[in-house]
Amino acid sequence: MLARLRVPWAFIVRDYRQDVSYKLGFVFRIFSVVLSVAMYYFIANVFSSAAAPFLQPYGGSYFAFVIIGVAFSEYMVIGMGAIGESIREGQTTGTLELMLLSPTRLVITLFSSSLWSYVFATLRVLVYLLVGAALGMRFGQANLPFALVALLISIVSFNGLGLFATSMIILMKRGDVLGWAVRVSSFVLSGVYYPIGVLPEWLRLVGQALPLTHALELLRRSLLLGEGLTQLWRELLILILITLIILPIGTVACNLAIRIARTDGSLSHY
Amino acid sequence: MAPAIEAHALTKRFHKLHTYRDLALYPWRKAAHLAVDHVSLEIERGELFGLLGQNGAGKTTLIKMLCTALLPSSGSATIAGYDVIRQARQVRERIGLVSGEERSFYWRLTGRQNLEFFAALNHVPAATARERITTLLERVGLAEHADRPFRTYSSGMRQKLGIARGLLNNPQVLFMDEPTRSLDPISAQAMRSFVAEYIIGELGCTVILATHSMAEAEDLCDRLAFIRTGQVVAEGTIAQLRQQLHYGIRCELHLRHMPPELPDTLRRRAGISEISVTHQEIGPRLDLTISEEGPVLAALLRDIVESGADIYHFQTRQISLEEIYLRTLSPAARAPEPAEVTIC
Repeated sequence: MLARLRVPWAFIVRDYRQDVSYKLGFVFRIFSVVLSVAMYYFIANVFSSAAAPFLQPYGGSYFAFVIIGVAFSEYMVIGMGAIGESIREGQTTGTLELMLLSPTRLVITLFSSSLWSYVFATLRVLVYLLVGAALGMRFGQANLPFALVALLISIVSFNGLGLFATSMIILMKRGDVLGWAVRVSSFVLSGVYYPIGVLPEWLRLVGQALPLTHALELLRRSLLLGEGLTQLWRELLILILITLIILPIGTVACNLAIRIARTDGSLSHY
Repeated sequence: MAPAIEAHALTKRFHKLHTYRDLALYPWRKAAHLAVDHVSLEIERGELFGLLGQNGAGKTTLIKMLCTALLPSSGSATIAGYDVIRQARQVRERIGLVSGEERSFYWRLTGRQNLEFFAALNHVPAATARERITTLLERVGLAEHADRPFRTYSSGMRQKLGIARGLLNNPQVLFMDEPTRSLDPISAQAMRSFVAEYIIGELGCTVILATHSMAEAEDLCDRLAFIRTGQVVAEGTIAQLRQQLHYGIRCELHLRHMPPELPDTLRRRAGISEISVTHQEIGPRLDLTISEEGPVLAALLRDIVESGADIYHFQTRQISLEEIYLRTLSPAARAPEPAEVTIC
């Protein structure tokens, strides 16, 4: 078992060592979270009462709403981009071909290459939540086990989409149109900064197809209101269904892209 | 026991990218470039096999297909009995790759940290990896610099670390693509000794070496293949190549009193070719090639003596690998280009 974890661990250690070697950048990326939280705190003070009707399903606090939206949408950004970025970095540094020439399975190499980003994102999310708590967010009744399960399923789902984006990078090198489209539409339609209740009906329907919409709904209601499977089973089921559709298709697309790149010799091109 | 490497009619055809103009005017036309053309090889275990050829001849493409980085268009190949297409993972467990590419490391990690990462990726158990990394760093002469960031390494040190990385998984077959490209002559010589004594002598690896260095090929390789436009045009030991290609024996003669008509007389004689005369202070020097020793050599010496010339110095030598290379692969020796194929 421990031997199986060696490859993912090696990727985490590699990326951690690289990240901390840029000392100022590392510290700044953590510190920027504190600044963001402060900014959202003041924005929330401006229109908290005006937005109250839309925020009632989430406890009524815009500050808590937006902090959870911004913090957890980081996982979506990473899921969509981390594997692709790692592939792109491997192409430009010339390490990709050597990684793919190792006996490690392709799927393990790809997922392991995004692990440190998740670890770092978790660190940033914790800072978001800690600073948020210091400024008045309340998690007293949070259903933590359910939130963790929802988060894990969300991450798998984001990675499924990320595999699509990766296949585009492998084939096109630049111009990750799909990744860009999903990221932008998720921020607009999934309720990161505002409740989806403010959107017109037809846009709300489009947003239902995005995993981030359901992920944020599950996380907000479980963390802020303490809701669990009894209240949220429908959202959870939709997220699982989306994941079951996206993940296999993303994996097939990525395998196909690598096969094409191995056929035309462009695997290490950039 | 299966040979270390076996390839049958291995072929790689790359599809060329269309220009926007071609894409608009002839969208149905597919252009292809034949990079490796029906290459068949059999390399025994423990053998050091050299691939020689000009830039773009297809050496790297051939290596990439054999080490599973590139899928062949047709043909087949096995490494240690495993098929490079259907059993790629088993092949990867048994091979190492040393590329001349210096940038393929993580520049902000130390040399040791880089090796630790690649050892894990190659499923080398942690304890074995630690021990092997220390040994390899010592053997390639990087022990003192192991804990310095890779970005501070010189080109030669990067190349050495690349060789250490190629040996991390104790490979049965090691592919080396221009491993001494960035090394100075002294380091290159040390590296050749390392390959001969450690990689072949102690580890017993089979090595495929693609190189432009004739000294390296002559020093190290048991057998060689000359590759031109994707095809193996000659293959064998250096002695076999000399024999197969009928490039003959070079003769150098220093003469006195050489009659001016002697070179023409010799040109008419069968088995004598490539005659050149250079006038030196001590007298004319005659360089020529004879097809074989024995009757041809005897006739040559008789002709010279009978012409009235005095032979002050005479020596024969086997044709060098560099001369074989130049004669076999130089543009003058080139057959019509088979590399461009258009499939409509």
